[in-house]
Amino acid sequence: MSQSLLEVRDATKVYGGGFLRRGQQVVALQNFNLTIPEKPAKITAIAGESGSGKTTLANLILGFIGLTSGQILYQGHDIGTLNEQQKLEYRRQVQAIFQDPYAVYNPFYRVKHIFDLVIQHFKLARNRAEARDLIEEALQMVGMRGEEVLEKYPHQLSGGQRQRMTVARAYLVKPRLIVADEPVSMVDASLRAMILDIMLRLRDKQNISFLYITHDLSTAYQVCDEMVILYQGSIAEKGDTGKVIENPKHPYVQMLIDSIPVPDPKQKWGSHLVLPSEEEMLSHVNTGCRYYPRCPHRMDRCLVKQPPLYHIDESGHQAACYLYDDQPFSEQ
Amino acid sequence: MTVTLNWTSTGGNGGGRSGTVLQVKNLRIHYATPTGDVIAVNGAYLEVFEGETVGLVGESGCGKTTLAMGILRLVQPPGRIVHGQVLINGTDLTALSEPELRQQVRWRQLALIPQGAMNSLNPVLRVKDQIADAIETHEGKQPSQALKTRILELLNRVGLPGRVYTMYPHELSGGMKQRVCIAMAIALHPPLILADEPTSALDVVVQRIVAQTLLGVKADLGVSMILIGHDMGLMAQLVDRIAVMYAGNIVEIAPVAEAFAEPLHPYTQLLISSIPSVKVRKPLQVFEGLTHDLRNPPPGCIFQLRCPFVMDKCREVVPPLRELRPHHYAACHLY
Repeated sequence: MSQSLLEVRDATKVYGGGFLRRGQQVVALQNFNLTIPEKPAKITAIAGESGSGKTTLANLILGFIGLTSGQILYQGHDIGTLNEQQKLEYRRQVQAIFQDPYAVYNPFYRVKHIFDLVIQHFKLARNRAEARDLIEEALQMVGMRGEEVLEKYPHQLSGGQRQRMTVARAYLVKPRLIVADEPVSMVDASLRAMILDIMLRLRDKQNISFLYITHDLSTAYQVCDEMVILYQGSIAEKGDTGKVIENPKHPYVQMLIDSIPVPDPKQKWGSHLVLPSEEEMLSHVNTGCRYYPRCPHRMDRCLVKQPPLYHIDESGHQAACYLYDDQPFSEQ
Repeated sequence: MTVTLNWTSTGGNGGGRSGTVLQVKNLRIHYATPTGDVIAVNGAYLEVFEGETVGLVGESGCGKTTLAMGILRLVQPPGRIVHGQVLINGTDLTALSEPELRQQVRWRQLALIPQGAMNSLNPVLRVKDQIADAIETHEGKQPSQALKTRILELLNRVGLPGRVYTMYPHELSGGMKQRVCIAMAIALHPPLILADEPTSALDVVVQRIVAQTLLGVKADLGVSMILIGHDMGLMAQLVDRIAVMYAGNIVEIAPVAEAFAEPLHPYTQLLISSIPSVKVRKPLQVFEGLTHDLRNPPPGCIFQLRCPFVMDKCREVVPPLRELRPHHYAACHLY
C-alpha cells in the first residue's frame, strides 16, 4: 500500500470546558477520519453548514489549534511531535488559501513584500534574480504578470486579483497540499470559475492536492473528486463526488441537496421545509444520531448510539445512517 | 385585537400588469473621486408592478445596491443623484424634502431589508423594542397591549416563535435575525420592499427557510418586492421578472422564465451559462476580460470589452434598452 500524504485519525476537537466553564463544552469535530493519498493529486471537498466543523478541521490540519484527541499524520509523521526543522518543512508543504481576499494582506506593504517574506522565511532563493524568477513563475500560473501587481499596494488590486495572488503565494513554495477554506465564496461568478480552473490546473500539472472547504455543493460538484459531508462535527456521508451529489443516501444530505435553489424558473421548490424548534434540537444532541431531531426517517435505535459509516458500495461511498444497516460498516 | 392589515393590492398576482407601484426614470448616480466621477448608475429605467417581485442581479460593484439606495434616496456622499425621477404611486421622491421622506415614504411606502440585515439590529435592544421603535416613530405612541399583539403577529407571520419577542439579537441565529428584519420591513405594511441580498451569508438550508418566508409574506400580503442578489438559482425560485445590471447599466429586463430560457444580452447569456448546478457536471467556463474603468467608460456599448460578439458598431453607438419581445427588454446591437 502506498503511503498516504495526510492522514487524520480519530480527530476530536472540543472547545470550552475549561476550569471556569466546565459545563459548556462544544464538540466541534468527533472521531473524524480522512486520508489523502500521495498520488494522484485529488481535490477533496469538506462540505457542511455553518458550525459543522469544517473550519475547525482546516485549523487543525494547518496547526493553528491542537487536537483534543486523535492524530494527524503527514507522510507518516504525527504533526504534533515534529521538531523545528520538520515543522518548517510541513508548513512549506501544506499551504492555505483563505476566504476573504480583502483581509489577508497587510495594507502598508507592497505586494512584492508578501512574496519576499515567503521566500525569506523558507530560504527558497539564493539571490534577487532567483527570487524574481520564482515569483514570476508563480504569478504566471495564475495568469498574472509581475509588472502588473508587484509594485502596487493591496488596495489597488481588484478582489479577483487578490484572490489569485493568494493562490500564487501558496503555489510559490511548491506545496503538496493546499487547504482552501471557502476560497470562492466572496468572488463573482466569472472569477469563481477562474480560481477553480487554477485549482484544477495545479492538481493536474503540479500534482498538488486540495482540501476544498465549502458550503457550496454546486461548485464542489464541478471540481472535486471526493466529498465528505459533515453534520455537527461527524461525517454524514462521504465518497466520490458524483455519487454523493447524484445519489445521496443520508437523509441530511438529501435535504441539503434538495435545498439548493435550482437555477430553472420552471422547477420550483416543492415541499415546505420546516425545522424543529430549538428545544427539540437540544433534547437529543448528546446521544445517538445528531440528525435525529430533523430526520424524517428517525427510528428509536437512532437515539441509542451514533450510527457507524455503512459502506454503500465498493467505491468508498459511505453513509452514517441505520437505513443502510444491511451493509458492512466501519466505526466512526 | 385592533390590528387590521388593509392592503390595497389584489394579492400576489405575479407578473400581472395591474397598477405600477414604482417607476424609476433615467436615474443617474455618481460617486465623486479625486480623479473624476464614477458612474455607478447610468440612466436606469425600472418599473415594479403591484404584487410582483423583481430581481436585480449583476456582479459586485455593478451598481445594484447603489440603485436601491437611490430609490430610497439614501445615497451617501461622495455619492449623489445627478438626475432622474423615482415615482412611488405617482409621488416623485427626488422632489421631496428629507423630513417628508422620513415621515411619509420610508417604512410606510418603501421598506429596506439591508445587506447583512442581521448585523443591522441594535445589539442592546430587545427584538420587541426595535420593532416597536419602528412603528412608534411613524405612527406615534401606541397603546402597549395593542402594540404587543401587533408585534407578536408580525413575528408569527415570519415564522418565529413568540419567545423571540423578549430576546436580544445575539440570542438569535442568523436566519432568525434575518426574519426579524423581514418582520420589521412589513411592520407598517408598505406596498414595496427592497431586499438587498437577504440570504447571502446564510447556508443553503437556512437560506431556503428565509426564502420561503419571503415567498410567504409576498403571497399573504401581496406586497411588491425588489430582490437584489447575484445567486441566479435563488432568483429563479423567487422572482417574477429579472433585471440584469452591468457596470451601472441595466442591460436586460425580462420575465424570469424567458430570461433563463432565452437570454438576449450576451452578459445575461454569460451569467446563465456560468451558474454552477448540482444537476449537470459541466466544464468550467472561464471568461477573460476586465470591466472598463468606471470613471471613463468607453464610447458605445458598456460590455464591449468582454463581449464575444463585439462589432464595430458597438464601439461607437450606445445600444438603447429596447423591447425586443413582449415585456422583454435588452440593450444590444445584435437584435
